[in-house]
Amino acid sequence: MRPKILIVDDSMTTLLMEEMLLKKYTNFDVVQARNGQEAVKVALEELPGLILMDVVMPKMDGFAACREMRRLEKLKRIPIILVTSRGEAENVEKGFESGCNDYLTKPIDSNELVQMVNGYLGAEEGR
Amino acid sequence: MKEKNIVRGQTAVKGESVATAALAEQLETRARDYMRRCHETVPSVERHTIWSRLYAASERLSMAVRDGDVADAVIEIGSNLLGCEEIVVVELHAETKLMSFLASVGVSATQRHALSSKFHQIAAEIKRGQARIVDKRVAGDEFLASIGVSALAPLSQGQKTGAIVFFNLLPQRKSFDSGDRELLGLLSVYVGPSLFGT
Repeated sequence: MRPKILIVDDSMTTLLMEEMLLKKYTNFDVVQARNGQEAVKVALEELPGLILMDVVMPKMDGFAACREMRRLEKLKRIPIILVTSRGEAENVEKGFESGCNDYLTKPIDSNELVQMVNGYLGAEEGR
Repeated sequence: MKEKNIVRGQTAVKGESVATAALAEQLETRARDYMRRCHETVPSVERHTIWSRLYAASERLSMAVRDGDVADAVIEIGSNLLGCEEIVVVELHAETKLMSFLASVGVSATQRHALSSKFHQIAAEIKRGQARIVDKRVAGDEFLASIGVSALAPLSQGQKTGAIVFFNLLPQRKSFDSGDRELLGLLSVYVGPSLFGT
């Protein structure tokens, strides 16, 4: 079975763009969630190979969702890439403290996104 | 980190009319075309990036036309696809020489004042009719540059006019580029009819 990528964002625009690029440049299936709370639920159901998650979201933000996922045995080893609007040091630091593996800044740079995803999930597997 | 506090203005939510449906369908057709280009052609990652952004924006706008939240969708598109979190959508009222702020994010009182106090200049910029990336070194861009505008997408539908005004970009973005110009163009063509005509 192909690994899945869980993309999490409250912006439909971002979800549409990320899904389009991931489907074009990787061979992974894509599942979505619209906030941190939903992300934890979907991650437990789908057990994705990678999670790409926005930071500022309603109900539960990306940092809190990240911490929650790191607490759960089933999710603690899944790589999480946080997507931030601002790559300022304090946000990046806070992201790593909450347990993320990496981060990307918006607007998404396609090359960076595809390279990072393939780096975590394996380029061969993803093609 | 800047919170996503969108200031809502006077966007009216209406039942779907024939015009709304037609506009949404036009946007859906464009979205499908960009999706097809993304899937069927192999030019470069950069080109696909532009098409995927145009696809996402068209699709999002078509949903917004049906849902009656076009101004908010514009803010979302600007923040997420253009890397700008200082955006305002304005409507100009020729009779009163006043400006309505339909939606905004991250825009200060000073920036709002800079716009509303220059009604005639903004109206003249809108009259030029094309989405513009402002470059202070270019003749004709001095006014917009002087009030801190980095791009402007004029909006019109019949007698109604307005604009999407972009101020500072996020720190990771140095300037708008040619791909942004295409997205600004798309917004300029479809947001006016969506906001003012349906």
